Amino acid sequence: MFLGVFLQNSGQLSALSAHALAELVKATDQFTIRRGETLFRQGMLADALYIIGSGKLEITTRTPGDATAAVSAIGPGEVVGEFALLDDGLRSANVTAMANSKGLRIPRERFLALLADGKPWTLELIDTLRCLVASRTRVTLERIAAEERYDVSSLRVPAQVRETAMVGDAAGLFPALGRLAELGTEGAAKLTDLGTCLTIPRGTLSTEAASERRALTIVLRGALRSVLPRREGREQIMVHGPGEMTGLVGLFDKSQQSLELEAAEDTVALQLPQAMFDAMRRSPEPFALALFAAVGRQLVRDQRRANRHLGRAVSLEQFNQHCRRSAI
Amino acid sequence: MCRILSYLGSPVLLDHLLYAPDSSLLNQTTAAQMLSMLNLAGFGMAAWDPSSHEPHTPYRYRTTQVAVFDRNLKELASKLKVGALLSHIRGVPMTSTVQVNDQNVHPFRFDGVPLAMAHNGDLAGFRDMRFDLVPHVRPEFARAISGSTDSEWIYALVASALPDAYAINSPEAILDAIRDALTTIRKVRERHGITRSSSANLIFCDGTNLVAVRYTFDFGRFDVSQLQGSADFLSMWYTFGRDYGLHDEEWKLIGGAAQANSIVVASEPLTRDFATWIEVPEYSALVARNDGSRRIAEIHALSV
Repeated sequence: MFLGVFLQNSGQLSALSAHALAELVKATDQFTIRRGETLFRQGMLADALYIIGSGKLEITTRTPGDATAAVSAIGPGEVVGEFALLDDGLRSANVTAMANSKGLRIPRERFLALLADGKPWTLELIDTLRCLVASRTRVTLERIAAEERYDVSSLRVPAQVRETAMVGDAAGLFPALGRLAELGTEGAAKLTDLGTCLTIPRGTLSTEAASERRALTIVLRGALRSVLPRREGREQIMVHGPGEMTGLVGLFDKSQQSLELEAAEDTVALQLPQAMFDAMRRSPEPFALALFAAVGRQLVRDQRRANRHLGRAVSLEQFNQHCRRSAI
Repeated sequence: MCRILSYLGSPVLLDHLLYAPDSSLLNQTTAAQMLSMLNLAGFGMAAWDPSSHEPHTPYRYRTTQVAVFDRNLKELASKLKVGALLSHIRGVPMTSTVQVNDQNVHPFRFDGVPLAMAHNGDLAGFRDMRFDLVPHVRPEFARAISGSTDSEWIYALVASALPDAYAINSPEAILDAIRDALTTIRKVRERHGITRSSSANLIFCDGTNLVAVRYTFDFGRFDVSQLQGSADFLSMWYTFGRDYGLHDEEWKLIGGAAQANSIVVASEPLTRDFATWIEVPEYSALVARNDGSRRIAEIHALSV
């Protein structure tokens, strides 16, 4: 229980209620790791979330040329490996102990079983983890914005905002969307009733971004492009295809969206306003659970893509700098 | 669908690219990591050996056999060192309407044209739209088309748009020609009312420059009953480094980005561990060029 009291007052899980923290601690195992040892490696199966009680760990990633790039150092009160509870992808980084460290570990399978049992604290925890991933993505996007290494040629001429039109049978598109299959026919119909369906012509800047209103946008057909406004135009950060969601970072931290949305192709999308999104965040209803399971996966996907975008810009710059030096 | 592998850098043994890695191009014939399809309809390559006679002319090889059974290719790969490579295994729908023959094996390269091209993807409605492409293809290239694929027509469009198709063009000129060809195809699709998602992942190489295009027309647009292949943008990955080989029991490029001079671009990573690989962004081209003793790599947007 040593960590439970600590987490209540500080750290990335302090938003959890005392009850949720106590239940979380009960569901965990303790882990210890010695300086120099590896907690997990990039590319491994993501099988657990770790909460650091004491010590210090370094997060690194491998980059082209088999080099290693330091991402950050973490310490007491911080969590690492949270993707494990949100999606079934592989580890995205290496974590190594810089000092003897210990803390708590909750295995993915155990957590998912407790979540399926409907334990209320698990909903609190997973919502907190989604907020955490959204905040990490916000930080990565800010780093990308601060970088002056973006590709000049990836800037586009501004697209014009155009009126969008409502379309009818959006629910009919859902059965083909593998990413939202958990919603089922009934869930798809319910979601369609709750939201507003839009057609967005190719090249259109989304009215949602233009008016700075926050909404969950689900792509049903076509593709939306998240772009970073630059002085000379816009830089493509990621592309969202059928079944993907956009606008999540702003929905979780309730700040201005850092990315604008542009239709990469003629697109049909469903929009849900922030109030409706908030109402479902911690709902135990099967419909909301299915929707927010997809939200969690999307957050992880977006964080991976933002990191990849940053890594691509940095590594290409290193590659080209070397070549320039060689020529001198 | 198909798989492509290309390379530009210090000479390496062909075997180390085609066969050795745990997810090598030839292993992708039956066990691709990012494609649930068999690639049984032929293998082809253009391989530039800097120590060979006329080093700017590639060694070309093509077969409609399943290449994993091809002893000649295996023997050749154990001897040939390449400074540039464009290789392809062809995957087609399992139907008797598909033509599996020598003329349809990638990469395509017209006589006297240094630039070669391989394609991963397919253009929906191609049989209807191809006649509208004719005015955009130079007559000598239209006559040179000998197969039945959409890929060869894309190649002919790009070759026709080059300032001098019979010379090594600058990467900018190649990119302009690609933009020109993609714009033509998009317009012809619109004219024919073709809206189904169609991938055009293309890799071009002339032994000096390598241009890898990750592009899809109408990405994510589909008929409700035909989403297959439309929900994910067709993959393309790259990695770079200084020394490609078996290091710590893993096939990879080492030496760090800051020391790199070689680049591999492929439909998917050549190893199960793809920590050191990065995706080419959607709607973009990766350009790697030799510039004297320098090698430069850049990402360019393709907003056509």
